[in-house]
Amino acid sequence: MAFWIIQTLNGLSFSMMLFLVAAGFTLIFGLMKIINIAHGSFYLLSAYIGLTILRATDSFLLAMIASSAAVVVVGIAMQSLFLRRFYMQELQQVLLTFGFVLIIADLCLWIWGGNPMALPKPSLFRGSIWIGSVVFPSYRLLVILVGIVIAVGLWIFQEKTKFGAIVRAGVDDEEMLRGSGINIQMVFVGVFGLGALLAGIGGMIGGPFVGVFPGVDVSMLLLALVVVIIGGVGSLKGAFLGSLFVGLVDNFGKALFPELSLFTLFAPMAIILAIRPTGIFGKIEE
Amino acid sequence: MKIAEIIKGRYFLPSLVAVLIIFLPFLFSSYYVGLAIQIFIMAIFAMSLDILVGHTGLPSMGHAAYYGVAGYATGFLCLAGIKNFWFVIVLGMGLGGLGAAFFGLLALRTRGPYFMLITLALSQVLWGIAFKWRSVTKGDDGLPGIGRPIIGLGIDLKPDFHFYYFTVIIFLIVLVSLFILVNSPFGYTLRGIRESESRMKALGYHVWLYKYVGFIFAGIYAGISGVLWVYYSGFVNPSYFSVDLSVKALLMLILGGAGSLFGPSIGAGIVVLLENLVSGFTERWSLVLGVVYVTVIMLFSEGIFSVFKRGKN
Amino acid sequence: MRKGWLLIIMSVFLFSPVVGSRGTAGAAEPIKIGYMAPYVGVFAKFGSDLRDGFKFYLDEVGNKAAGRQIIFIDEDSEGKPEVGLVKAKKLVEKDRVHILAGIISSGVAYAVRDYVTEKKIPLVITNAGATKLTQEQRSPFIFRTSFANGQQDRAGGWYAYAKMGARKVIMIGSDYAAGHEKGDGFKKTFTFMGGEIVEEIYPPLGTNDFAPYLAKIANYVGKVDRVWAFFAGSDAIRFVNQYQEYGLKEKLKLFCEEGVLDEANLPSQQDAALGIESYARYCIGYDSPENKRFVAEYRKKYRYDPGALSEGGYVGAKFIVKALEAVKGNIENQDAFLKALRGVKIEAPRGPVRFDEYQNVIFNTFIERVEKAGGKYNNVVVDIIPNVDQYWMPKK
Repeated sequence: MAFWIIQTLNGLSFSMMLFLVAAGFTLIFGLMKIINIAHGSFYLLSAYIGLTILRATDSFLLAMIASSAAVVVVGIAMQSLFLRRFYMQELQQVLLTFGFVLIIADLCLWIWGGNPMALPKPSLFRGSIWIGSVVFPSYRLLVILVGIVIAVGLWIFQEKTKFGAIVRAGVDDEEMLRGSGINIQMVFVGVFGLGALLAGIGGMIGGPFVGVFPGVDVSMLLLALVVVIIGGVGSLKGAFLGSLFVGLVDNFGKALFPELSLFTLFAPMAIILAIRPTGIFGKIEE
Repeated sequence: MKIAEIIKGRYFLPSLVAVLIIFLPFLFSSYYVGLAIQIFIMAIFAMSLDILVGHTGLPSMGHAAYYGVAGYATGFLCLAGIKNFWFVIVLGMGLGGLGAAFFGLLALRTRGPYFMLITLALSQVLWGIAFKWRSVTKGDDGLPGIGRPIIGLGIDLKPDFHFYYFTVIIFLIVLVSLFILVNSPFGYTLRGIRESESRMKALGYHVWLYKYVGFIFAGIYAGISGVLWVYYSGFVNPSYFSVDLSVKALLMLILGGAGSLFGPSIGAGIVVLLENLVSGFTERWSLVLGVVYVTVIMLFSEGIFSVFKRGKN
Repeated sequence: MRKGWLLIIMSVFLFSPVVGSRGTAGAAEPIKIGYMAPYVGVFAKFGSDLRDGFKFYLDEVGNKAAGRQIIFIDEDSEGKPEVGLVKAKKLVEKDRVHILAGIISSGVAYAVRDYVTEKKIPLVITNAGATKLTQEQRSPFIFRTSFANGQQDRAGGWYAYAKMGARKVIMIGSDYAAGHEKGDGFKKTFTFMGGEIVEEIYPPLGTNDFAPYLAKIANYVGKVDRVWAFFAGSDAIRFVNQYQEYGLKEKLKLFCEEGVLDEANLPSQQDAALGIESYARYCIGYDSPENKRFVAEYRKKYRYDPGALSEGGYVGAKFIVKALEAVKGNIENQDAFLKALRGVKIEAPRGPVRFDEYQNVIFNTFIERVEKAGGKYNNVVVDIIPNVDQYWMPKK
């Protein structure tokens, strides 16, 4: 019994971190049709900046705010100065993001060195708690909480705010949005910034247990890709459920069938690609 | 004067290049020959992608899939003792084509950015299999120790010198065959589809079938480059399926010019030389490359890519 | 047309012997050492540590051996075999180096093995541990000054049985060639002594979350004596931290391969690493005069603690220079140089080292433990097992 509780909580905590990264990726693709290869780079940059601030001030909150702000600035700059120029030319946009991956990764390597590091946890959550006869790190519970809070926040944003409605409309039918007189470029900048913010928060949240090191940008991107393909592109609901699915399946897969561990990630994605390429909750293309 | 005229002449540069290519191993050491081999193999890969990108207007982001499949096949065959090049290359082409046939069915249900995402995801599935299936692929360690194949006629391909000429010949065969393909009615149809799918449909063309066949051709040619690269480097591992490689091929097309005969090859040359040149200069070569790519795309994006503008159709 | 000319111009630059060397152009007849390591990607830290250590020794001797200047030329192998091979060729053919050194990734080492043997260039591997390079696929030109996978692990296996009293062990290590080769080394001696390996778990490289595996290990509390672990880099950090988070640290003791608790990881592991024992080829806490001097000066120059990789690079350079001195700098007489290199015996920071007949290094293996002093976490020596070579077996 304890085994199942622990594994479920493990899986959930991993899912929540995945959700943070995947949500931004799916929004950016859903609205702007950009495959942001640099999405993992937001995670990387945010974790490194957060680490530095954390070491200097010992305040997790301050580090989170600073790293998020930094990543949002980078994201907005990327969109408004570069990607925007190739509006509706996705190929160039993707290649641009590839260039940014190289730039950000190498800058981080230059500044922070190649040594893998783990962010220290916020001081309130460094211990472990007992669940029945088993020990579970309290930080992971925090991750689950943060993930749920943000998921709810995003849902409110999407369903209940005007901006959210605009984004929903844009994901569904961009032409209509363009015709409606709303400044579509501002919407794009906003969403790209939001996506970067979410990935940045993901970096701070994931930093203590995944760590930060050269290459984590690529692994996060791959995970986001798997979640988005399974859950459906452009759908926040899909990103949430996809993250839950991937996190739990991956976790239980490793626990019950360790020999198959990577298959548990890729097999569902392959199946979805074969049956319904745009994912479970994605819109049917044209 | 006369010399200036010659230099400005249409045939000067191509002749210079041809001479350089023919006499390269006599002029330079095996390091440069190795670079040249890389350029030619990558040129084949880029040309194969160009069928999709430049001619059909399908921006595939997972082209490394077919390259990798043929590459692993080569590795397995070699380790099983099969050294006959002709057998392996046919199998490599077949598997590249088969992979494309299978993935094409899945990917061609989508278009534009969705197509890009799906092709990317498909190549990553293969990466995941190659990485995890250690019992077969040895995972990240890969399959080392793959020797040069036997092509018959008593020619030994082990020296890079010989392998270079062999690669050039294969390159030329690919170049000529592709030239025939893109200038055939089939090629014209592909370009028509690139310009406007709806118009082609209205004219009665079975658009999906043309795209599908083009996809398979692209896979076949990619397979050729995969086989050659394994024989050149002696090694195959999951990086053959990497996003890096697929994206680099796209960059070669942007740099060299998609949809043209020599564009992909020039792009391949630029990318390979750039990578090797810059890394000799600075430890920050990755940063420099990133800046160069961003700059080039911002400044020199070719007109051909306007066909990827959504809403044009 | 433009692009064609661009290509030609780039080619000219590439071919130029002046451009494209990160080393400095030298004076008359300098000795050139070509060096390769990954400086990007997951191995970036290993590469830079190794290089720092190598250059540290060269700087100590004023970049000279037997009066001849030494030029150090550095290239990035990116940890990829085909890139490593291309860079090796560039170093040998364009930069005309006399010796090749470095290499972290075994894949790269395998890729260049045939090339260096054919071209008769001495290769001094200062890290890559793949066993075949000094066994089935050895070559008179290949030397290894770091370790062979399984080497110090054999000593560890014996120690776990004979000195730690372990009889049953479970093993967990990264699923790649090095992980298996090291595990095999540990297993070999541990089972030879009479111990039992109850289970072996091999999570993939880059596992983000060890929790599912830790739950498995938790089932063995009270049923096995020790857990053997091998991870490197970020995997090692995550594993050790998670091991403590899930309450296993006190319940089931770890005995690790040196990479898990390397000095580089300790700042990210801190209390989670405290008190854990490993076996290692190098321990920063080793009390010899040579090591104390090395550590103090390395810290002063580079401002970080030297780890096994720093020492590995340092020792590699020292072997080369000592051999050069033995032949009075005459590297052109290659047979004499190789013979001298084979015979070099030096006092390294890890203690006395020399080559075995397959040109792999022999060294003392440390048993170390992480302790905290003055707010800082470091490894200290608990025991030493002398003269461990790649085929070492204990006496029963």
